[in-house]
Amino acid sequence: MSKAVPAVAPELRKVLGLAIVALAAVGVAPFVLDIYTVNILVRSLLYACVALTVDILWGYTGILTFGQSAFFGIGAYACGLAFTHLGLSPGIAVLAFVGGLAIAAATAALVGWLAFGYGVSPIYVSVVTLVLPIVVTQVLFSGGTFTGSSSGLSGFDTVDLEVETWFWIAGAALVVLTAAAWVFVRSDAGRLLVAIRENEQRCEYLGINTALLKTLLLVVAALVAAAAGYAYAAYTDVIAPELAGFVFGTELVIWVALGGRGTLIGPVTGTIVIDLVSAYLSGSLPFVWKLVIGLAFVLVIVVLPQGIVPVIRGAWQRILGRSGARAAHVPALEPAPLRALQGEGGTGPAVALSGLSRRYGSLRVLEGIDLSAKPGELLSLVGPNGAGKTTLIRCIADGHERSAGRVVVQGHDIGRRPPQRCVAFGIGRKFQTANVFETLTVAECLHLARARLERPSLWRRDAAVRLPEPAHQVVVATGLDRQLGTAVKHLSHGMKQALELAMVLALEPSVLLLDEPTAGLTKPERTLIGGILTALARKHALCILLVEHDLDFVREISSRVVVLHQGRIVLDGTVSEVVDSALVRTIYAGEEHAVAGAAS
Amino acid sequence: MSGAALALELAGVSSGYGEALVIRDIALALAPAQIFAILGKNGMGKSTLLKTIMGYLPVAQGAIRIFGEAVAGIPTYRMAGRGIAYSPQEQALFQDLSVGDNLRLGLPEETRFAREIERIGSFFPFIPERLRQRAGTLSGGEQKMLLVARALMARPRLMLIDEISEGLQPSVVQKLAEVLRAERAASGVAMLLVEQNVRFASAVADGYAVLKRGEIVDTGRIADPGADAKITRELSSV
Amino acid sequence: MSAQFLDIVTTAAIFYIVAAGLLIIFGVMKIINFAHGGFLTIGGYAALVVTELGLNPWLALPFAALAGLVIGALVEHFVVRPLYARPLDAILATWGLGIVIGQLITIAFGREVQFVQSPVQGATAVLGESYSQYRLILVLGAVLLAAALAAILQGTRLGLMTRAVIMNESLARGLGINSGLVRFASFSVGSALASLAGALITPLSSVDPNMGVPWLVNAFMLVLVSGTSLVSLGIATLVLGGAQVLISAYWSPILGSLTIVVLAAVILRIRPQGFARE
Repeated sequence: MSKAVPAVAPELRKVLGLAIVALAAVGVAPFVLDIYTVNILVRSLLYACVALTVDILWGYTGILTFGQSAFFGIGAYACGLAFTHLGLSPGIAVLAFVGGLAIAAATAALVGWLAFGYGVSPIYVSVVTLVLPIVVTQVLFSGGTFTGSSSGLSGFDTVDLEVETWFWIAGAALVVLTAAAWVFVRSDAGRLLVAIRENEQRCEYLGINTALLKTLLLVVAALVAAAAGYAYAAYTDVIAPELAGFVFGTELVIWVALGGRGTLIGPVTGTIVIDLVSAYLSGSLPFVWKLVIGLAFVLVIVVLPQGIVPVIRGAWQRILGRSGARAAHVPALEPAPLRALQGEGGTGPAVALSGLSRRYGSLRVLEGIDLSAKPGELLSLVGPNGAGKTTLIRCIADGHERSAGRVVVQGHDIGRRPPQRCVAFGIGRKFQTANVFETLTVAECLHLARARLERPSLWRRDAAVRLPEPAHQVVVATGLDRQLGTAVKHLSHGMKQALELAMVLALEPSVLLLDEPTAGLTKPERTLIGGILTALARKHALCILLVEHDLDFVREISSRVVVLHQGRIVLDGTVSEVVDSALVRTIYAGEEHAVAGAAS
Repeated sequence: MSGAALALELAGVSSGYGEALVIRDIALALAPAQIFAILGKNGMGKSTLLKTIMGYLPVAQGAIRIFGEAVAGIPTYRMAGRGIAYSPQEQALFQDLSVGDNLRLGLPEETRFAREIERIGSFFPFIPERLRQRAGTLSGGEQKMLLVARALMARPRLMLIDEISEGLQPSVVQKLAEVLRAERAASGVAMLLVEQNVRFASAVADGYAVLKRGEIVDTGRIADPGADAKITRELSSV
Repeated sequence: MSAQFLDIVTTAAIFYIVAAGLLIIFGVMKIINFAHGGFLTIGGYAALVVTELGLNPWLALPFAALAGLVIGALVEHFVVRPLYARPLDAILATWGLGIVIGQLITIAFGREVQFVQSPVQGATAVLGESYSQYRLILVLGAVLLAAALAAILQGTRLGLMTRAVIMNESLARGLGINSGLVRFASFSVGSALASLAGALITPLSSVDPNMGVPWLVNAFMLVLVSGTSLVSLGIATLVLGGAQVLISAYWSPILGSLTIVVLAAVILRIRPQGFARE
């Protein structure tokens, strides 16, 4: 723990320094700027707070949302409705604030539940966040005199503060939020957001409940937007349904895109500049200005998808002759604390399948599979293409996959549980093609694999990656330990395979599912992996299920071989019994009809 | 283009997905009217080779010539116009289209359809009778025959066929072998077959190459004594 | 009762006309054209120009379609083509284009609401009701449109090639189909249909620079629940359009205006493929 501080402190100190400078600027601004500008800027600063939430959701996590306006509107109407109908008092003000935030949070949770349910398409969240502002606007329209319908509410008694004070409040809030967001996205938890954007499936198979995390993120973003909306209503003394509308929701996305998604400072600057200029030009050139924004938006999306601020920053750094690349944060490798092995002492099977079948429509991919494997067994699944091997692996790792039957892992019936719950029972699944996070570094990938067991920090980078012995062994043996700071996309195919294996082992699984772990590897790499796998089974009593085409490799490492053919188990025995059997040779020589005859 | 040009020539070709090379330094020469089989197990780069020839994947290194003409940078959709018929391993049929429409898509224009169907009928009698049936409702063997039929529609000069024998019963495999050999004899088409099935390959092909981990490890004439056994051994070893 | 029946049928017809162009583009290119609202608006103003020139109001239709075709072709070439691999960005860029179109129209025609001459006036007696002739003509229009699209897709080689690209673009390319050209043609035709729809619906209400946005949202949701099938679109417009008519009549017009988006969102949550087969 103590080692973490020096690694992070310079970065933290830098952001703290910048925040203090920004706060000072906020403090001074009302004395230098004219009152009209200050007046407009209060609104721009509040919008920028909301744009920041859009950036976290879309720019970092990949959730394209059109609905942050709805939460802004909920906050604004909580204020306006309370002050109009209940009058102004400190108690009412607090109650309205809390109430508005609570409604926003509940709405966001509902959106998350709808959008991130199992099997819901990834684009559905954009659909729901498009529908949400439309619904909220119509609800406000239908409110009659209570909500002021289409003209909204205005002139209600509101908090009596000077414009400068409002400016200070909004400015300080924006600086604090931006700094907090800055620290958060650079923390270990912040890396998790990028990991979800990059490869959500891998996150789930690392035991991370991504749906819950994304819902939490939506809720926090909604709270910020609602608070900004509340302040907006209290400040302007005018609320209208457009505040909650779909057009405002898309404007937020436009500002974020123009400034630069995934940069925090880009969306903040973009929002302030565009809103301020809009205010100045709204009298003289309103349509032309909106046209310019529209054209700029199209141009940026097509030509500069990363936005304008990164381009300016790059140019600036070139002028200064500095390289823009920050030295990658490279943590140390440490051994993980020993944990009690799951299912230790039990004599039962590590994994037991009974009556398992999988159908796609009328197509039967697996039928009546009964199979159990003990700790310490290295069981190879062989069979021709389309025999159902990968499907079988999938059915063990995801409770939704099978059509019938039971899967019991370490004594736990997986039922219909999603992959991250199966991981909690001790499953570790390595996919056929390396399934890793391309833009993250090797160390970040390994650290993410530990997120299930060690909650990642919300504000700092861990100085160490703690790996259990088998994972550590793979990392060292393959030389990944010398590439900890390298981005995964620069690794060779074999190194990516090794990294994924190390990540899965970092989960400390009891049942390891490996789908062709040596496909595309060189001979020495395969020998190495083979040695590691046999050691894992023997020394750590891991139960390993291996899908493999290479019969020589199977012969070298397996303790037991199961042959699948046309969705059924046709042979189950020791290596010598199975690999050298006439049946297997017939299958591999391509005369597949012979198998059916031999099996029946 | 001289008449003596090779149907297909690969010189030092490497390719793959992004930075990961799946096939490395492949050299092949296929004369007109020659049938050549690329043998290898899953994941060895066989399909990648065909996709590279078709222009689905860019050539990272080396050169590909078809009938003497370099094909680098030629878009995939222009390949059919050059007399190349390609039949991929997966999702090779439009399952929701009729048998007739699938065959139509094998032709550059409509006018030859009736004539070609008649010719196809001499190979696969069931096809002209079932032009209106949805392709997805055919049996596995019939679907494979439809694939070959579609590849034959435009009377190609070069056919690239990915694992046509996969999962078929021997009678169908034999039928396909007969059709391919007959067509070669009749039209002089060259064929590059990607296969795992050694028996099928040896029944059809003249030459072979064994592909392992993206590289050719052995090549020869399939009629050579002992070639079958040698290939089988190579396929089941590391 | 029969008035309601007529309302449902005519409403479904209108939605079908409005959404068809969006569905074709989505089917072939797998992107949502958020400039669809802009193209509807272009069609509306094309009709306005025809009215102001004092020409036969029916001329608005070819005029609008031509405008949509040309602008759609340009948009495909310069904006959509670079975004094939980034479908979410394509949504954003086309939404930006919608803004550009709206602002250009505002600058050219002003932002006020204007009215277009209807080619057909008055009512006719049908099913014992006196019903707007123009709305009835739109039903005929929708049927003709569906028949024409079906004839092209099912009956011509171009249609077969388009269906091939919809089903499996990679395979289609291998068989010699220039899928880039099919995409270009589809986007242009989809845009032309959008503008044609804009010209067809304006006599029912009015034109203003933002007239396309509410239509866009409804068309978007209808396309999402229809997948890539014109038949599913017919079912979706009848079911959801019908629900809108009934809820507006028996409950409240405001809830009615939410019917399509809310029902579509619920349907997609329960059944991601919506009204389409698997």
